[in-house]
Amino acid sequence: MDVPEADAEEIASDVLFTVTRKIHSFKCGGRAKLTTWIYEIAKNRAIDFHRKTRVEEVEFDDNTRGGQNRESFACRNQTMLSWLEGELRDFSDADRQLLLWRGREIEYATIAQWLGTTEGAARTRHTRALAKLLEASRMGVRKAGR
Amino acid sequence: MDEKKINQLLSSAVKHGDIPVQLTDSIVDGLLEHPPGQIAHGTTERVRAKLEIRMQDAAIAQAGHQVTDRSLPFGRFLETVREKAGLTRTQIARRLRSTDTDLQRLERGDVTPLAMAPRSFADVLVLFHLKLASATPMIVASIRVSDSKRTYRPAARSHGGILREARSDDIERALDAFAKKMQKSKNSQTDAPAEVAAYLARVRNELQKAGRTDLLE
Repeated sequence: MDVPEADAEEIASDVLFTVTRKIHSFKCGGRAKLTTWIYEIAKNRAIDFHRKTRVEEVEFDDNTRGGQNRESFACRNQTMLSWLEGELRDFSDADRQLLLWRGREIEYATIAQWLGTTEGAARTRHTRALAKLLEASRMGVRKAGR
Repeated sequence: MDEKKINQLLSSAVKHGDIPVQLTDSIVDGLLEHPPGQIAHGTTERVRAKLEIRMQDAAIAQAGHQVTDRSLPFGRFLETVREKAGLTRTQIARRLRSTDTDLQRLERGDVTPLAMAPRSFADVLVLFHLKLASATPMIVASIRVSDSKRTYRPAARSHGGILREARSDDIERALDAFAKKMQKSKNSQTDAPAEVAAYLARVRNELQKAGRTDLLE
């Protein structure tokens, strides 16, 4: 989840504490396994952490470097994000997940297992999906707010 | 935009929760089976220790809300909260970097809080989420009860044949109650003695140093 080790320990203990507190709300035999339920809590805590640090990073950049490195924060730019969201709507669920998980550097072999396909097929599928996304960016297609 | 930038954008969107990723049982099973990173040596133990501290803090906070009697001697307050929280002396002593014996002596009133270093007392206030103002009457009660117990304990021993080594918690509690009752009838003074005020000023400094001004209100 890309959280620095020291912070990850804090988050992990926080997640386990939440689990002990909220375990009564978990439905045994429900729509998800216990491990999935716990992982979801961990994912949300990690997202909270990244959102908090994102604000701090931007402030640090603006205050100390006069915003010269704004380009490095392009990934977090709202316009870019809207563009990406718009583009991803045109992809199938599987391709969208494939792009997102590969963005997080999850192995092809692991993703292939989830998709019920081979590693090679997952790789090819990802290459095609990424090419489509690149093409869209080159054409300057802006589908944000469509 | 090149491939690297696209991947950065995708990664950032997932990382910050801007675009949700699907989490199914099979995906999570896969992630647990092939974790993206290795867990460093000692991490599990540190996480376990942090979790234990969180759970203890939550139990103490909950128990603290239930114990509202601020006329208790300080040690008895600590003992009541600790027992309601379901914690052992060893667990609390470890948190306070103290020993079971020292904690027992404090709980029983064998020593008054004034015998503690102000820093140690501040640590107790922090652990028990206790404001300085709430602790003050309990310190005064501790001193009075402790003084009385010192007087009545030999009498109890000689009349009841209670040996020092045979002193049980029940006998100590009975002495507490007796001493408290005697103090009430003898002395209605409620102001903190000067030595307590001086001690509290030092505790106040320690709390300020620790950044716990919330306990000073």
